[in-house]
Amino acid sequence: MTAQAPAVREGRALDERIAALIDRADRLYRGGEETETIRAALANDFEQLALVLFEYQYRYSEPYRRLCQARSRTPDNVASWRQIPLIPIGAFRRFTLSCVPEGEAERVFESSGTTSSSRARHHLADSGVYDRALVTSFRAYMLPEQESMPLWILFPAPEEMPASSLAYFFGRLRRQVGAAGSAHFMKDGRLEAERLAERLRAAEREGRPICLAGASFSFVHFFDACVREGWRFRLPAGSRMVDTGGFKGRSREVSAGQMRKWAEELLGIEPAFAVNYYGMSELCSQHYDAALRRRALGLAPAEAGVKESPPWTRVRILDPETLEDAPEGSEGLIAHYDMANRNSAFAILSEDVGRRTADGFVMLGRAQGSVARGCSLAVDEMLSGAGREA
Amino acid sequence: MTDGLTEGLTDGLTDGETEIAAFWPPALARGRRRWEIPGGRGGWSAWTPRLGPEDVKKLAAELAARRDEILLRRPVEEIIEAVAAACELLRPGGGLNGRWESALADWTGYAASSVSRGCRYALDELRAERMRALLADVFGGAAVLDGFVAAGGRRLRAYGPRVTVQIAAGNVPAVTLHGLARALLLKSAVLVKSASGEPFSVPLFCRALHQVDPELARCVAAVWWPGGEEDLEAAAFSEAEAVVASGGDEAIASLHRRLPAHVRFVAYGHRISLAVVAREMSDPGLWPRTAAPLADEICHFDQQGCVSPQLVYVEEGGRASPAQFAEALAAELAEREGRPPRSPVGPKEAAAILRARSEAEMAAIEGRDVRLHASEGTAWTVIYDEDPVLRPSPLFRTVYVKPVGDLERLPGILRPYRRHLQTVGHAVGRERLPALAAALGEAGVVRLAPLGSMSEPSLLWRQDGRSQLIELARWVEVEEGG
Repeated sequence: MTAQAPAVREGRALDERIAALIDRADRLYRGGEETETIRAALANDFEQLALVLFEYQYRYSEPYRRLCQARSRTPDNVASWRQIPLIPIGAFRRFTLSCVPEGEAERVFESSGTTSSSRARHHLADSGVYDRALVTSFRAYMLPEQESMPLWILFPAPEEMPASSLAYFFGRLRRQVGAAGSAHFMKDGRLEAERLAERLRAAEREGRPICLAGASFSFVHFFDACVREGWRFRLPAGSRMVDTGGFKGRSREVSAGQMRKWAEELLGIEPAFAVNYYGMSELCSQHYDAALRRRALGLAPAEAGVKESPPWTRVRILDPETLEDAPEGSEGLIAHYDMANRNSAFAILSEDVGRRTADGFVMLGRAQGSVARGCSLAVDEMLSGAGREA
Repeated sequence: MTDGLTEGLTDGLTDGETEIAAFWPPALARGRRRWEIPGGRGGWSAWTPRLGPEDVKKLAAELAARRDEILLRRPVEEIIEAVAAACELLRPGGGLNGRWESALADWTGYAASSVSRGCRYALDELRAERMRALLADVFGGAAVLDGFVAAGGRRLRAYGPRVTVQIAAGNVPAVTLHGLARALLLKSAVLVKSASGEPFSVPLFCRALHQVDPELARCVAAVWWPGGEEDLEAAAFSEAEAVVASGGDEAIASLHRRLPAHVRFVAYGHRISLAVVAREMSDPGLWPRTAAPLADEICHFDQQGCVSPQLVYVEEGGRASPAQFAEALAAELAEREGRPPRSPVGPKEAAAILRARSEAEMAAIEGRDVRLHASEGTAWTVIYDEDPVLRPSPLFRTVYVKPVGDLERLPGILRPYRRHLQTVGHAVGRERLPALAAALGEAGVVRLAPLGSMSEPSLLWRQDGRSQLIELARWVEVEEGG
């Protein structure tokens, strides 16, 4: 038996604690017993585990340690999770952020991007915690009243896109919560709209509710096809959909309101059951619209577009001038603290702008590409190569 | 020729309150609902009539008819005098200045001192002698616009478009007036579509023109509509012979796609400007002539103009190193922090500044020679970066300082971006300037100006390398028989 690197050994121990926290959160989501006790325990777990995780990443992630040192923040002077230094999300493009030796990482996800320098790489030491996190929150926000459903996926299968975290995500869900009849509807990068339409008509006849899941741009393509072909569906009550990931130039930009409207008009999915989640390849956790969960459990409705964060994560909205918490209702930069990112980076400053609400936060847009007014050249246009002559 | 609706506007802008009528002519408002122009600050609101495509088409057609009826028979000199006199009314104490500058400062968020300097500059360049100099520069004088002039064995006359539609950008106050004046000098009627960012200098100018020459004021119109109203744009273009547009590359490309093929299109898209400090000027004793005016350029309208420097190349081998120049520039910006304050930025702009800073922080962690000098909040940022590649800044007083071994290497660094290059502000020894100008000009730069003068190009400037007057003129020639 070869000796394990300490980062691997300690990481596994941490994973067990994080997994226990996620399981506790799962019990909270499923409700029934001692909600307040669980909630308090979770908050306590989070605070303690966050500091341990910070120490771990400070010790084993060299770029992160150097960043902390440059900011004079070390485990010696950080006493609460809010003081943990945030690594800029761009670090995933620039550095290898992995506590375990790079060769020991179980998998590496890459974000979409045209050049290697514009692609973020996310190293996972072990996908166990990721799996547990993604299934727990999917159940909580997409299937709060049942264990499984047929999952129809408008995204390529993981074999087709091995570096895509989203392909992995949907593939894992299909295996764990997808009931019989689950299927992928994208092949060789193409949406199989005709086949999906046939299956939707069959679902209408059979009266069995389904869950559609995919990238936002795939839905736009399918909805466009529905409009073009004159397709209209009335899916059985309880059918639902979840989209994520924005448009990334793969389709035109569409508002969340428009997605809900199409879901209702073209598929017969009621607006609360058309869910969007906010995630990115740099994060192992997802932040869902709470509308479906609340409707299914008979709770007070959520404000449209408000995302809830699972208990093993925190989201802060920071005033960009001070990098302190922005007052509720004002816009600021979104900072993520995600325990499922055990091997990469727990505390991340994104380039997204959001607003805090009483129950969660609203994502308002990305900072990129919004810089220039008038005739001054925008940074991103130049960096993306649009400013260069061929 | 007065109009009931105009008389009520005591200061030319408003009815004395804080609501700005951001359009011309006043008759447009009759019987129409309103659009509120978004983005107002400081308690001001601004509105325009909610025009439909038919209204815009009719307005443009009327302008065309008035150009034939009025402008064609008016000598250019009368137009020059009227424009200059209207500008006099907009100057402090000129009768219509009133609350123009304070409203502009509030609305744009720019410092009052920047706005008043910007307005003074815009009006100074529209003095009668400047407009005459412009025509002399381009056409050898005004005569060729008033009649046929003998030249090269035939007689020549230049006509402007019947109607020029001007799509304004609004990032720098009052400069839209220059484009408007250029079109008028060609005896073209002008329909200006203002930007939300600066919707009232043009309507105010139109009112001033109405006071000094009511007939000419019938040949101009100022409107606004929300972005994306392509039907209204199409209606305006249907009567236009020329469109002059400023804005981002995407907006320009979108306009271009929608223009009828016969319409002349003069577009001013995205540009980047920079500064160059030669080794003979990189000297702590010369900071007042280098770092200080560069800091002024950066603070004037917070780099929102395309003539503002986004980065500076400092030649190595001077008494101060490029990194020391960065420190000096940071000190100058720190001194200017809050005097006056940088215009407010939204979270997206602030996020872009923070991103530039964190890129610098990470590059330093990687072991590259990158040094960040920054204010407490996002007020100003200087990033010294050893990598000489051209790098646009997120603006709002954010600037890169880059070393260059020798100025001779600069054209090679800049050439890949030639389609976007614009002004180079220079602090260079007199004897080196001609060679530098030739090399940079070849590389794509279209204007060199001493540091301190970048932000205020002359009316004669052939913006982005071309003359609006030449591009809009249509020549008629008469060949004399033998």
